[in-house]
Amino acid sequence: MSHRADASNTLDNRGYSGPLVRGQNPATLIETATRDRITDSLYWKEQCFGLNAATLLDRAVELTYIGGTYGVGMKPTPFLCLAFKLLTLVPDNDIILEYLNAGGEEWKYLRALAAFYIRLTFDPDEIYKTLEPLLLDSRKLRRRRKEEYTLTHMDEFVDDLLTKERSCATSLWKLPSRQVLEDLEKLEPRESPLQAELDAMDEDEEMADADDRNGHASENGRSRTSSVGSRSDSDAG
Amino acid sequence: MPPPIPAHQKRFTANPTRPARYRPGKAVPEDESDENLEDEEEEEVSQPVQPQRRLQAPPAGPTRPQAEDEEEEDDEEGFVTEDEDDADGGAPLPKPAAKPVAQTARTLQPSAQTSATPVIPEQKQDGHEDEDESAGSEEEEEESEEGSEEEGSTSEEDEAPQRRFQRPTFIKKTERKPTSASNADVSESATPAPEIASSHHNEDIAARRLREAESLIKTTIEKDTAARLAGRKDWDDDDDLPPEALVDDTDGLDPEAEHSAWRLRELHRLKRDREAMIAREKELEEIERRRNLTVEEREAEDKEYIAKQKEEREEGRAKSAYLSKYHHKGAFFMDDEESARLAKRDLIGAKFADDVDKSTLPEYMRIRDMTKLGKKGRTRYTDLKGQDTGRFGDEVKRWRGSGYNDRNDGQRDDIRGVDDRFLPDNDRERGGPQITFTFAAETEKALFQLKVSIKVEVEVEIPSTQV
Repeated sequence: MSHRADASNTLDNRGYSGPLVRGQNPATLIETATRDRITDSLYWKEQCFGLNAATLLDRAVELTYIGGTYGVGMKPTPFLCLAFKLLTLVPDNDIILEYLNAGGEEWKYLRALAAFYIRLTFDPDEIYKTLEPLLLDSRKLRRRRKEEYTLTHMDEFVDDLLTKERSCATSLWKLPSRQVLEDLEKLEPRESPLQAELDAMDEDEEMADADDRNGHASENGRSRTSSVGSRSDSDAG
Repeated sequence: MPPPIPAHQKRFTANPTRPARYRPGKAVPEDESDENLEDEEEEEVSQPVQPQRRLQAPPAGPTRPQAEDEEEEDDEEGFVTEDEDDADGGAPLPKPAAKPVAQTARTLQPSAQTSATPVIPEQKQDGHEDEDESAGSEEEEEESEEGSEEEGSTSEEDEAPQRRFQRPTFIKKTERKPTSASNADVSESATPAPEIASSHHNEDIAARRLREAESLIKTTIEKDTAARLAGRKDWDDDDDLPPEALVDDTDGLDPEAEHSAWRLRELHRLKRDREAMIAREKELEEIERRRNLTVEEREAEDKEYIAKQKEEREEGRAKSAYLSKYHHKGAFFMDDEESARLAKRDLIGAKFADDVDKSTLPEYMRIRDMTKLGKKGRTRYTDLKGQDTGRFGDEVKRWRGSGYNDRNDGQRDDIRGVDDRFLPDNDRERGGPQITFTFAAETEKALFQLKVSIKVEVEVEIPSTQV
């Protein structure tokens, strides 16, 4: 793998000979227009030159917001530039997992960066396996949109990565739905910690419906209060 | 004797004479009005240049009248401004901004000299650079720097009233040497001496202000780079708002609220997943069920479904007015909420408040598109029925044996437009006498019998007996 400091060989379409992602040059995961904006930006030219997986961490911990492009001239965010740098570097999977889990404990933007990279490059079942634990992480993230900054959370961001088609100025490649993978036996159905509560709530609703059909008002009242009580219990717990 | 004809009017018409045509090479006749215009334009030119001028050592006011005295000299070379004329080293050189202005000022003068003028300022600059002190050349560079910065220096304000565009004056070659030594000699009047002092003084002020401005720029740039290095300001950002000020992303401000917000989101996600699963299962069920039906049943269901759809669509669609224009909703942008709401609008039944019912208009104005009213060659094409020149469906009526006819009457030729007298007997109005004859032949063998019956309606008026 001939790694050049300014990644000029990744962007050269004639003979890319580096590691492939799904059979393609990983730089093509980002669209041409966005790619051009990234490589023309000041941040890329000054800060992303000659980075490797370790020095990229220094840059990543300085991130203060996520986002794609902003402004009228479609300026890329440092987040996007670093993501593109990761795509040109193509580090090993366990490095990325380290970023995600260990580094991410302390720096949330590093975690977001790793999650974005995972969504673009890993296999579908691995994507689900690695990103679903992040749905429990509820830290705040600052997101830079075209004209303003907004507040979002880590679990919302990961949910967007898993369900939407575009995020951060990139078209995310089509992820087969979880159902398909479950049918193919590659994944197990998702267990959420709130699943139990949700089931409990559903049961209470069913009980309430059954009582309605019987037409016993007192039982209705009782079941309602009991269901309310159980909800408050679960809230406290 | 006819009235005397005015001298220059050789024509006999009362029309005003046209202005003389311009022919190249011929002297342009100058009127007095033209000369007045010239002066006005010169003054105008001097006004706008005044705010543009920056940091030139302004010549003191008293030199202006002197300048105007020398205006009328017109040798071929040696146009200078008073500054260069009188002041010693460090006299500001004509700026690039001033050059085009200077040229426009001079275009009003005979054109022969304009070719020389672009050369002159450069000569002057070269001449000056040799003798100038370092401060002068510094000034030049700084001037060009400053010139690019249009805003921000408050140092200019004091000098604005003093700086005025000095009309370039011509100095003879012999008098042209602008060295400090010769300046001391060229003291024809008292004014050069105080000029020198004041210009020195002004130059000091100018230089000082330049330096202040420079330092200001430097500090701003340093602040910028420091902010960028500290990661607060982004690399290409022009505004100074740090992201932290706008949106706060510190965690742990209110753990319970955050946790409950997270629970809410998680529950929404679970609900969404569950609903997707239910929808999917339903669809699978439906597919299974249809597979088990026979072909006819399937078709019957399809027809039902289509009919229901059509009905829904039609009932939602209001009846359009007579001869109203049809507006199509558009086939794009259906998925936005806003667009969906707009798509559901009732366009066909919509009425503009002032709409006139077209059936009340005269025939000529009954057009769908009112913009075509009154235009030549308009064909009033509304529908195919109007274009049909035949009798619509009449042939069907006329065919024998078709159930359309009145069975009693037998044949029917084209009887509609025909007058009553020429109608066949049966088709006359029913009120008239109807005669059918039957004959019984007595003398001859009755080969056939014709029956004759006379039905006569008689109206009898019985005058009522009046009592």
